[in-house]
Amino acid sequence: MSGLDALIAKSLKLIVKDNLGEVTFEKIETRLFEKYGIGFTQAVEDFGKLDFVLREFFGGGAEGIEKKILDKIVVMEESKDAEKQWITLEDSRLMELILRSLGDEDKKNIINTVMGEPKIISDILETSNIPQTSGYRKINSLIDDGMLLPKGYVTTHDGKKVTKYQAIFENVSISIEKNKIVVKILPTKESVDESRIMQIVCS
Amino acid sequence: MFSFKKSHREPDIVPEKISEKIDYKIFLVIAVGLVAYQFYLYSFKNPDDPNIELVETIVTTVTALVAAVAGFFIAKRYWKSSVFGTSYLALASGMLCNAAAERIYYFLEQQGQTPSPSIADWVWLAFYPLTFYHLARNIKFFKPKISTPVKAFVILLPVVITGVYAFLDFGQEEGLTTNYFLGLAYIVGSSVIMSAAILGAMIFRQGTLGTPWLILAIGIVLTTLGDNWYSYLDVYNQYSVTHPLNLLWYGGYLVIAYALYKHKKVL
Repeated sequence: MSGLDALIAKSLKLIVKDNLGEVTFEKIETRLFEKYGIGFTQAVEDFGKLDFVLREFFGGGAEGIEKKILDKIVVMEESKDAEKQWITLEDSRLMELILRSLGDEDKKNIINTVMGEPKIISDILETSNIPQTSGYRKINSLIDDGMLLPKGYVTTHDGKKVTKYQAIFENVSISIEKNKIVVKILPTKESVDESRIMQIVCS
Repeated sequence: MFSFKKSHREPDIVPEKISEKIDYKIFLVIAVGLVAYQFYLYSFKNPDDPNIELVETIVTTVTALVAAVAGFFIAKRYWKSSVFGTSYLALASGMLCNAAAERIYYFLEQQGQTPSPSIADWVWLAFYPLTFYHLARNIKFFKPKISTPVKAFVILLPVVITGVYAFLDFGQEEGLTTNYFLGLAYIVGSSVIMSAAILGAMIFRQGTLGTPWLILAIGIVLTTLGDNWYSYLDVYNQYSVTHPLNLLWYGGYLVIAYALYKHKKVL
């Protein structure tokens, strides 16, 4: 699953529940399971399947719901440079996730280490000078939250492939505008290209 | 003697595409019931029999209440959700207003007071913004890209209906009276919700939710036809309690109740 998709899937689920109710969410999830054998979170990764099921229920209304839901989570900034598009986070839970990660000294160091350049876990821990036990835990937590994206492999001397990781954003901007915290991220081109959800947001 | 029966259940087959069909028998039952009721009204030998007024009030109240109860049931089902929960609560409240207005009208009439224009009209008129809220909330949330011809149709339909009525009624009323504006308010309200209901049915038409929305649109079209017909009859003083146009309202309310039942079945 793309880093951005994993990050957004959590919010998407809650937004469907908030707007259309728990019962509707369960119906959608049941249908996804009986039709494709996947859950809602997996369907976010395979957005075509989620779109099919949403269309089965809501017809043309699915288009609106997809755009509407995603607009509540992220808003693309207008930019002349198509490769450098800032994204404003609209969903408070998503913002909280980013702020918490950046508020944790170790996680912040990990993110800084892999911003721009992908690295394997042992290199990340060495560069950011974090103890192994808590370091692995924090890196896994960042992967689960979708902040780190797998990007290529390194082959070790015994022939094993070790995954390299990269932060999903190149830059983060946190500001306070009219008593409201505004969090913007500049995602890497790869994370946008690999995210089916971002393709809809950008459409 | 032994009989061999299949003791096991056939395995459920997952449908390739889920669908929900309209049960036309329900429409037939409603239609037959309404026609039978109309014949019952005609059985009264004296058209001014006060019992007719009572029966008519009870039937209007009960049919509107059936839709209101179905609406509250759906609203409760989605209680904490911001789109379905609030919109179905609004629709149910609108139907409740119809039932309440009917009772108020009857009460005022029995007290020898002028039933219209009166507070009953305000309660009746509350049905339109509440129903419009229901339709608009859903359309706004699910809104796909709407083509220009559809947009034009949705805007022009109430404009034309209102324009024709305003023109015809203006020739009959003595100037811009309260009755003129009241009649116009009913026409504007009913034509706007009819237009929105048709748009909603078009948006959802390819999904299973399209079925309850199509039925809802049919119900709202029936009530709109009733409102329009009533307004024209009122202009020419031709309305009576036993007039068959009442069936459009009863039928509309019952069809709306059926749409709500279908919604529960689909989602």
